[in-house]
Amino acid sequence: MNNVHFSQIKVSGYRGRNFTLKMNPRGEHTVFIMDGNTGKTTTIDLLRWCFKYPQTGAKGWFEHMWAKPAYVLDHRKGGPQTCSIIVQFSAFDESGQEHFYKFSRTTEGKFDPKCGQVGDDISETGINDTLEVDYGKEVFTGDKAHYYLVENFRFDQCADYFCFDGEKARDIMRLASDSGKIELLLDLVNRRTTHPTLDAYREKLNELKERVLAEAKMKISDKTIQQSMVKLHLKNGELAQAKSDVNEVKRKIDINKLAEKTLREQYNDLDQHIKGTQAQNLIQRNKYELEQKNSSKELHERRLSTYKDSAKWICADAVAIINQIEADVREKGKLPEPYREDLIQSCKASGKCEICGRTLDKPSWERIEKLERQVAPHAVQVFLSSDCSIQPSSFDPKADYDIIKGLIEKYEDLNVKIGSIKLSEKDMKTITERDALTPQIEELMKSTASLKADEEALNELIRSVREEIKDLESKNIALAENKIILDGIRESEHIIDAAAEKIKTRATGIISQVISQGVSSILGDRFTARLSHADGLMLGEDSFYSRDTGGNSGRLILSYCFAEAMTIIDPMIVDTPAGNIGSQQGKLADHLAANHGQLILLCLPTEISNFGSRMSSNPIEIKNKES
Amino acid sequence: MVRIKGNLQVPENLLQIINAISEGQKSKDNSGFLAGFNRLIDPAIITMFYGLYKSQELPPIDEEDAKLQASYEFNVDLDPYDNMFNHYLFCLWLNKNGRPEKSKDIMKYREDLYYFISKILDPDIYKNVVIPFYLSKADESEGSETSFLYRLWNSDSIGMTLQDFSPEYLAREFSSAQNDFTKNVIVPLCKKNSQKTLG
Repeated sequence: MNNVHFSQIKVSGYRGRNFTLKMNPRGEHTVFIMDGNTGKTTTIDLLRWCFKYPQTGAKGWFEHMWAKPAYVLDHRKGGPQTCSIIVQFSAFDESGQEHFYKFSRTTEGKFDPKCGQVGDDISETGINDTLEVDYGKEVFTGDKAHYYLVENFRFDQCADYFCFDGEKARDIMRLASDSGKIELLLDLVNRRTTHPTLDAYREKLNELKERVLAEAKMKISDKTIQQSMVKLHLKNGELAQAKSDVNEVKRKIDINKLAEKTLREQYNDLDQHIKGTQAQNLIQRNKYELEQKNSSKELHERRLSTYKDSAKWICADAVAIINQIEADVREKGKLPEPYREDLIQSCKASGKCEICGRTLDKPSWERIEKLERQVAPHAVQVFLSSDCSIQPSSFDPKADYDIIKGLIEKYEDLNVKIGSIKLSEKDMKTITERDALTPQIEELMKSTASLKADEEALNELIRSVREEIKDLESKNIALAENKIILDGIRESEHIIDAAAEKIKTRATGIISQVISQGVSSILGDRFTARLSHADGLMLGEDSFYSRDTGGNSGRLILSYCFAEAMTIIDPMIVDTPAGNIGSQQGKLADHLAANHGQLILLCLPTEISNFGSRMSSNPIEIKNKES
Repeated sequence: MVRIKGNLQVPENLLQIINAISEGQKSKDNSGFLAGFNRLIDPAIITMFYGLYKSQELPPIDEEDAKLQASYEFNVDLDPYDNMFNHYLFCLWLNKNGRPEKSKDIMKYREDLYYFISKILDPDIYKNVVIPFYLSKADESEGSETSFLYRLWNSDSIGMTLQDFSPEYLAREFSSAQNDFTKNVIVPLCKKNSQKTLG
C-alpha cells in the first residue's frame, strides 16, 4: 500500500479533548490553528498509542510528553466514561486502486485517583479497536486491526516520526548530540532498514526444513533411526529456543546498559551540580578568608608600628606654651651686684666682703649664703634659657584606634559570612538523590554481569546443540538423500543474514544522504549531515562535522530531516512545527511543503504568519468542545 | 642631656616587658607586639611620661633612692625626652607652687625654684629618684582597672579583638592622659601669665 492520505481524525473524550480535524482533499496540505492547551500534543500522542500498540497491549502504554505512563481518560469526569478516536485515511494498492480505511479505538473506564499510577481504571476488555476497509467490505477487530495496519502500512515502526512534535525532536537532538547513544540511534535506523521480506524468507526456510525432516521421518521404519530423528527434531527445537533466549538476554542487556547509562548521566549531572555548588562555596570562602588574612596582617603591622613609633606618642603641641612660660619665668636684665654668683663665691672664699672689705661675721655669712640660694646656678640658668624642643608627631592615636576597630569589625563580619556559607537544603537533597543512585547503578551492573554470563552459557549451549545436530544429521542415513536440500537451506540462511547486514549498511548510507539533502535544502549548501556507525548523526558546516554545529535551530532542523528519513509513509502530522527554529521557519516550511504529499500541521496562532501560511491559504481554527 | 648608665630601678612588670622585647627581637619569626619597640628603654620612657601625666605629682627630690622590686642595667641617652620631661616637671612645679604675688615672696620663690631645677638636673637624682618614681606611678592600678604598665606587659599577644591592654588602646589612653596634663597643668599657667602681663 502506498500514497497514504489522512482525511479525518476525530477525538472524543480522551483527556477531555473533543474535536474533529478534517483534512483538505488529497494533494493539499492542512493547517489547523490550535491555541495552547487545546489538544495538539494529545492528538499526536493518541495517534502514536493507536499505531504502536495492539488492543490487548495498549493498556498502560499511553505516553504524554514526559509522563510515562500518562492518563488517557478524562480526569475531570466522574463515573463511567467512553472515549474514542477515529482515524480515517486512504491509500492505493499496487494496481492503483484507492482503498478507504477507518480505524477506531474506544476506551471504557472511569477515573479513580487510587487506581494504578495514573488513575485510569480500565478493565482488561475496556479497550476496543476496529478497522473498516472500504466502508465495511472488510472489518477487523481487536489485535487483528493492529496487525493489518502493521502488515500493510508499518505504522508501528514509524509512528514516532510521521507523528512528530517538539518532544520527539528533542529526543533525536539528544541522541544525535550524545556519543554514548550512537548504538541506540543506529538501532532505530536498523529497525527502519530491516526489510520484512527477509524475515518472511527466514520463516519459510524454517518451514521447509521442518517439512524435509518430517518427510524423512515418515519414510523410515528403523526404530533407532526414528529415535535419532526425534532427537534431531528436539535438538532443532532446543536450538531455536536457545537462539530466542539469547536474543531475549541480549535485549535485556541492552535495556540494562541503557538504564545504567541514564542513571550514570543523572548521577554525573547531580554530582556536577553539587561540585559546582561546593566549588562556588569554596571560592567564596577562600575570598573571605583571604580578606580576613589581609585584615589580620594589617592589624598586626599596625599594632607593631604602634610600639615601633612609641616616640611619637609624646605630643609636641604644648612645646610653644611651655617655652612661653619659661621665657616669662626667666630673670631678665643684669642682676644687681649682691646677686652676682662670682662675687658671692669670692666673698665666701676670702671670708671678707669684696665690696666693703669688712671681715664676715656670722650674720654676714648667713646673708651671703641666702643670697647664694637666690642666684640660679649655671646649669639652672642654661635650663631656663634653653627652649624645650621635640619633633612634632603625626601620630593620631584616636584615628589609629578607629582603623584597628574597623579592621576587627570587618574580620568578625567576615567570620559571620564564612559561617553562613553552607550547602542549601536543596543541595543537600540533591546529594541524597545522587547517593541514592549509586546502589541502583550497582544493582544494574550486577544484573548485566549475570545476564552476560547467561548469554555466554546460552551461546555455549547453541554451539554444542549445533554440533549435536550436525552429528545427528551426518549419522542419519535417512537424511542423506535430503542433505543437499538441508545444506541449501543452511546456505540460504547465511545468505539472508549477510543480505540483511548489507541492506542495513547501504540503507544507512541512503538515509544519511536523504538527511543531508534535507538539511542542505533548508539551511543552505554549506550545511550537510552525516549518519555513520562511527560517529552517529552529525551536522556539518563547510564539511566540518561536530555534535554542536548549527546551534539549537540547526539541530532541530536535523531532527526534522531525520524524522522524514525514518518515516515509511508520506504524510507527516506535526505538533507546533515552527517551535524555536528562529529565522529558518520559512525555509523549513518550504522544504516540508515540497517534500510531502500531505502535511497536517497543528499550529499555534503565532506560527501562522511565517510558517502555516506557506502550507495552506485556509488554516482551520479548532477549539476544544466540552463534552 | 641625661645618660642612664648602670642599674635603673624598675617595677617588676617593666622588667618583664624588657625581657619580652629582648626575646622577641631575638626570634623574629614568632614575635609578639612588644618586639615592635625599637629600644629596650622605649617602654620605660613612655611609662615614665604616663606616670607623670596620670599622677600629676612632683617627685620626692629630697630622697636619695627609690625602692623598687627590680632593676635593669642601661647605658643609654634619654635625649631629647629628658629635656621635654624636665620642662613638664618645671611646669608642674610652677602649677603646684605658683608665682609670687608680692615682691617679698620673690626671694623664697627663687630659692625653691632653683633648688627644684638643680635637683632634677642632677643625673643621679634623675636616675635614682625621678624616673623610678614615675615608673612606679604608672604601675599603680586605678580602681578596678589594672595598671598601665601591667597592661603594657600583657599587650604582647592579642588576637583579632579590642582589649583594654591592646597597643592601640594603650596609645589612646596615653594620649588622653597627655591631653589632660596639658589641659590641667600647662594651659592654666599660660592663662595666669597672660593675666599677669595684662594686669
